[in-house]
Amino acid sequence: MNQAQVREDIIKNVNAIISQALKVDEAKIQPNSSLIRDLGAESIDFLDIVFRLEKAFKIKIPKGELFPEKILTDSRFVKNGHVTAAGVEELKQKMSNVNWTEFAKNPLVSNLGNLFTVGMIVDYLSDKLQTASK
Amino acid sequence: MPHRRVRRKASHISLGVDIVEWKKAKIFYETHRVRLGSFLTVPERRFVENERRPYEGLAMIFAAKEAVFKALGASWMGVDGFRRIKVRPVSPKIFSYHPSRGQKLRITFKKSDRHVLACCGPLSVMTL
Repeated sequence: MNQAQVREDIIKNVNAIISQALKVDEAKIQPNSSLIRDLGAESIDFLDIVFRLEKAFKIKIPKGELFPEKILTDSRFVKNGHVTAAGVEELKQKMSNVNWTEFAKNPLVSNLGNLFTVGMIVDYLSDKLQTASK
Repeated sequence: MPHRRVRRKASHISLGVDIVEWKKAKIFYETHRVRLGSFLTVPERRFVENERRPYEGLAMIFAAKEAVFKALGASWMGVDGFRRIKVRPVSPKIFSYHPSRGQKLRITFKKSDRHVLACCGPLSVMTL
């Protein structure tokens, strides 16, 4: 299987998992769909999705690797419910495919969940599986 | 590695409320039963498994943890929040949480046909 086929396979699996976990029609799931804003995910769903991904792809997703939780519970990076400038820089490194311009205007932690997209999961898995196969 | 406990000064603690659908907890329990030990403590897990319908116990644990998170005004629950927030079942309808020495939060529940609602707050408020 070439890289494009592998990615297609990942997309198909991720869409199926998200559809099952969030009880949404697969047709509604797009790469830029926000898990919270567009697909209605709650905290429990994040846990559910991580477990389903681990099972389907036979991988272990270490704490904070897929969703950057360590940053969001670190007082250096979060103050009064806002991500600090240093925190935004950290997040940019962890989530390089995200457009940070809009978020940086009002960096509320509660807005951050809107940036967790289906595409972000696909990118993460593509990188992880590629690294594992080397 | 030990999990960090979520701490807050007493003045920052307010009331936290959360609601969980039984159906959602049931699907979660049936799908991930073998994974419960990865994010629940031994007493939490024991509470779940001792319930007549374990998914109802799991729904209560989920709702309790989220209610604690909201009461503490913490910034991000995420996946790890379910591990960091360790609630203590003290009776079938009351849980407790100790954010720091001397502080105690109480969590109580209301149940309906479809949902469980957890309410968390300082002991002094919750016993009024």
